[in-house]
Amino acid sequence: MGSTKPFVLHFEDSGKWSSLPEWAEYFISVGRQLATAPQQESRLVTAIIVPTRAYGAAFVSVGMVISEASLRDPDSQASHFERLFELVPGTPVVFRPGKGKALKGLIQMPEELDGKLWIRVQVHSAAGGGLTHFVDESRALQVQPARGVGWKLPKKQRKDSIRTANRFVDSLLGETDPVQLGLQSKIVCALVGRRNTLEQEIRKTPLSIHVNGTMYAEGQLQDVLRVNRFINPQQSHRSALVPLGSEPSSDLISSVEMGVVFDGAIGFLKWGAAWRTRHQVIVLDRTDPYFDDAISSVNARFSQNRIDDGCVMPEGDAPPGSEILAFREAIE
Amino acid sequence: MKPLSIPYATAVYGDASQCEIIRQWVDHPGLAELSRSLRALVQSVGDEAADEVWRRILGPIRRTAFALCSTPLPFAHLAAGTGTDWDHLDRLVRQSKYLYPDCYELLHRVSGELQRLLLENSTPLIAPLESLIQQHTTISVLLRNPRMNRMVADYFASSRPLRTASVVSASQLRGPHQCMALAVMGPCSWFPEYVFSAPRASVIHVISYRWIRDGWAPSPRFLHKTDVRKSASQTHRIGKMPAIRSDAAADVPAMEDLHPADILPPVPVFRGGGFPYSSSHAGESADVVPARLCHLIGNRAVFVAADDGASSLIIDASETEHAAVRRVLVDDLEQGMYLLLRTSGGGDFIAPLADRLLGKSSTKLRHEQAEWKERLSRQAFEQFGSKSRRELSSLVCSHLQSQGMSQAHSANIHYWMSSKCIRPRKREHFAAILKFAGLEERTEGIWSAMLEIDRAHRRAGHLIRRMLLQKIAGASLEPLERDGQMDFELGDQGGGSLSAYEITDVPAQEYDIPSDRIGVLLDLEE
Repeated sequence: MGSTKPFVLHFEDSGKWSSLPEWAEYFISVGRQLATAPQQESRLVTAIIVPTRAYGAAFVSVGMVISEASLRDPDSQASHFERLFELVPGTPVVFRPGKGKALKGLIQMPEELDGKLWIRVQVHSAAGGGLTHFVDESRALQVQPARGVGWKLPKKQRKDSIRTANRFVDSLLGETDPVQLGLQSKIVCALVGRRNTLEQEIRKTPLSIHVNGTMYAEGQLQDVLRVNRFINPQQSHRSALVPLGSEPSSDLISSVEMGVVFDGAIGFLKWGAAWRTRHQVIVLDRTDPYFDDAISSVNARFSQNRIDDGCVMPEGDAPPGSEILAFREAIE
Repeated sequence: MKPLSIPYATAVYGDASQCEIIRQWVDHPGLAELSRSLRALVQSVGDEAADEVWRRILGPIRRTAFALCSTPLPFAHLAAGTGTDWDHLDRLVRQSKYLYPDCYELLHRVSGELQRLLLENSTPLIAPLESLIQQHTTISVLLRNPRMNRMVADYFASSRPLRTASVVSASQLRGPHQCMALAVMGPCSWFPEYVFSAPRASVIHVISYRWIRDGWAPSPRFLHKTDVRKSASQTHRIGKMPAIRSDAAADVPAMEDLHPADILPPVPVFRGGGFPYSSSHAGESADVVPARLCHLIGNRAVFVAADDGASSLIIDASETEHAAVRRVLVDDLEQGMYLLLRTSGGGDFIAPLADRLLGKSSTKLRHEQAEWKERLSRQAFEQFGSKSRRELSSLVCSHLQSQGMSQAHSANIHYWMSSKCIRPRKREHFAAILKFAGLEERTEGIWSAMLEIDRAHRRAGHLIRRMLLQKIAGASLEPLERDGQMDFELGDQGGGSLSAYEITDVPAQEYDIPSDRIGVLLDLEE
């Protein structure tokens, strides 16, 4: 969330909106940093000691999801185009012709014109003229399968028939096309912590975007994080919650794409070894009863597994009362 | 830990940034002399301090001396609060003249000096608090011994100059408690480090006797590689931490100063309490069950059943806005939860209420429950000879497995034999053990009776839970969070009185314990 962003994220304090404090911005920057850190032969471990764990893991995760969405991977565009090709004609899709616009659509038989392949998306019913858009590989991510729904096309539809992302999300993503966040399920990061606490922070804390001193949009962190346990089956997800009481499944372990955020000592001590190849952020509250055990565990890994490779942490001062250690660890 | 809002978390970061830790020293030459003499005595007794006689002598002396050094109450006030039987102690001291002649002189002097101090109607720890209240209007006060919290809070409430002082626990300082000024009674190392490194106050006054060393300062917790080439390390950073200053220039420690650990009373150790506590000690006649020792606040402890599926009733004040009362498996018991125990009449609070719910039939039903267990134990004894309960369980298990009950487990049979168990979960298991006990023909009738007892226990559990929830909804839980202990009177509704105690540790070690010791509060200080 650099100074070039045209918006300022706000939180509610006694009925008034205040801009997000520096400590929260720092956590977001930790998550953003991870999104650009390579993880081939080693992964990044960032351990953060804080005076209170509140919102730390949630904001780190937001940073990861936002940054991941902005990383346009050409391979994923090509593979997505291939997947669209395999859809049965008549499959419902959402077509996003532009920012903030979404249309209901039905996949039609693809075509090859002048040696180029096109996906065809019908957006008006036959009675309405049967308007059909031709979409090439460069715009493939504008078309997303609408899982779990079925619909008939209207005769005509305006360009905001479906809102897949709200203004809050659009603003947070900046220049990134929100379509990536909108409909495609993936697990960018896993959050390991107490369900009730994280739900309170992610789903029940009102936030807002202010532009030029005026409130522009309201939302919650969940709008961006799309935690799998806080959504209904029709919605897509971007992150997964691992409650302290349940062992993460092998499916979940293998499907986390970027990193794992441990909210507190217990989750880290229990499941810290489960993800062997993904980046890790460990948020440790100084008041946690298992704080010392977790510190010993981090220190043991630092002294035994650390590799002296390029490792950086976000610019700027660490938040008051915090201590941050970042190191690279060889991937087994 | 209760969830904190963003504004509150911001205030916590603000406190970490601005907090100043100020050391304030107080003096009392008599108490200093006593403390040094006591340290010399403990050193001269050496390893013998663990002996029964020395424990009974030194225990109360060290606890009282510690209370004088750590509690903002007039010494005479403390004399009444410690509950020490000084006449008995004097007798023990006199006896020691013959048992331990080398130490007698010193012991006699320490005991006499301590009793003289307890006549003083003041303490040097109060004046700084009065001064802080004038400065800050209100203050929160943290004590090393949470068992003194209630007494000190009552004293503050009755004292005009201290009326606006409130007592807080270290547990409260993990969560949303926040204050302008916090007064900590004693050196920093007596308290969890987070009190100072994650402060919940703008200023912390550490009020301690000058002759107790206190060298605590914030330091890095992570191992790290020092990067001398760069001004800001790319791998390790520390945010702004609370600053420390002293109110006196002369705070250089003297040679004869005491280490904070020298003042603390001995660490309580569980010594078995005179009943079997391991499988090798359990006799064949004992009604023993597997149990874990749950450590509670204030050096107390309680055995909780550790058999498969056993659960305990707790108050969980964390996570949600309102405290919850729920059952928790023994493996899920955690530090910071509040364990509910029956205050009087034994540890089990469900069975007496269940009997009331069963009415007149309870006698007959309980008789049947006792009968099948007695027949099961007797049959095992007759078939396999005089052995421990655990060994008999294992032999019965092998027998049942040979009869086709492949799911039989020794631990389950051990539990089924105990009076705490009502019935196995599965009817076929019950039929198999009744067949072994020679009660096969009565299986149907006894199974129905056990189901009836089981239902009554469940109803009793629900009733207790509901009554507790009503009590909690209408009461402030601040005393529970402050003292780590709170009593709930459910007598008017048939539930008796229950007490909640904060759990401080649940070690994994298991004991074999007589079933009637489950849920009984143990005082590890005695």
